[in-house]
Amino acid sequence: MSVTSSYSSQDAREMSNRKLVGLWFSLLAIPLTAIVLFAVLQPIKVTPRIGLAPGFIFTDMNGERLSNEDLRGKMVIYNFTTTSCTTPCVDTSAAMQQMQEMVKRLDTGGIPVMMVTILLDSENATPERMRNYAQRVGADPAVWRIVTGPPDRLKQVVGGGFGLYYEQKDNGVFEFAPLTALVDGNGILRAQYKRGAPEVDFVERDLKLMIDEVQNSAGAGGLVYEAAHLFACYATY
Amino acid sequence: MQSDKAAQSQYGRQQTSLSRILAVAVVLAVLGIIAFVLWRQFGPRPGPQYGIAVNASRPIDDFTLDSTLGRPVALSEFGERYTMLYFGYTTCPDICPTTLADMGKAQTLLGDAADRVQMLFITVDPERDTPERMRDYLAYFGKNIIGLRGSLEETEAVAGQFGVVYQKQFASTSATDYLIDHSSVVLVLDPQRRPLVMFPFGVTAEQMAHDLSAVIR
Repeated sequence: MSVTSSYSSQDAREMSNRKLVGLWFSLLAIPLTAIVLFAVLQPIKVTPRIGLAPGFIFTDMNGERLSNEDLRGKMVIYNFTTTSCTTPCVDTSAAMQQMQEMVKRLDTGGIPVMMVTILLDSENATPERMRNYAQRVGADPAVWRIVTGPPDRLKQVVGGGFGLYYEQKDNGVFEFAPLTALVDGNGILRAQYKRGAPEVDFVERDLKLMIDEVQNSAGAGGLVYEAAHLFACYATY
Repeated sequence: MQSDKAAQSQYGRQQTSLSRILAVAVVLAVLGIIAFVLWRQFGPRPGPQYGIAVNASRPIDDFTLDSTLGRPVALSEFGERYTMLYFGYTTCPDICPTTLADMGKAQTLLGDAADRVQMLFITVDPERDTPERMRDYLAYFGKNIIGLRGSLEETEAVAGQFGVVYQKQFASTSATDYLIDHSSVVLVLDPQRRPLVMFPFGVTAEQMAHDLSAVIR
């Protein structure tokens, strides 16, 4: 009888020890699993914050000034081209036209979205040529501004700030890889699309994520969004 | 005899169970401390309450400018510290003195944490602002504000990196009679020179100090 009792007491202790070990593992496993699931499944998706977008003061086809400060509070899609973009220049105007349609139909919850095309060939970009370009691509000035600036400033802003390196050859032709960039209302660069013709769907998806973040990141939601940024992938398209 | 053994066994079980509870409590406490330290160091920073969270991954390119210290100063020299930058000019009539006063007061309010923050003032008017003039001017706002000055081209390149723009507004035909319209944002960089927080104009010293205390690690 006492032997049986001793065995059952030992069993109970072993059980208790196993429970304790299980408890410790659970204590470790639960938060770790939660973090891994949050990182992998990304229940809250965000468009990454890459860096500060560059400052600029350029002029449009009507000689009106446009600066990055004028665009604070607005989400802006930037692209870069020349007034006479022919091969080897990759013409992104068709994609920008589609984007203009997308921006007009997108439910932004009142957050303004703009498009800005920066012309690299400022020496050729007379007001008349800029107007012709705007007419050719069907730019609605309420949504889509077309600007240019002095060559040295363009180099700093486009090359240094947006990371698009371009070169004017001896024959006057500009060589550059196509780039479209997305900047939020606080002047933070959020996405760069390096495909020849950026897919409007990608830009629309990222814009929607940015709009969701603005709308939902007040209060405690802000910490969840910060956590989501911690695990965001910094992919380019 | 048997009752003594039973009592001893009962006492032993109680001791074992007490030591287990203690062990679990110690493990929990240690795990809690480790989690807290990891969270503080690597976890998401609490978003600033009054400023704008930037938390950008791309650092600001290093630059070197003349300074009020009497020698050129590189941004990377403040490697261990957070930097708080403001672009302005010494003859600025309104926004600059208000913002600099708030920065100086915020530093005082930070207490011991103030040692971890370096305040920088970069002039957007290098033609009129000499290092001596900036030194005299900045002394009104705090002991720890270093003034930086570059050439026109350097200033434009440095300001552009921060999204800061400025433009002269001439009040008369005189070449030196002008005001400068400029971005009025205060930027905070982490020790790796990554933009962390942005304070728009109007954020008070107390609010800056509150947000800085929350994001400094």
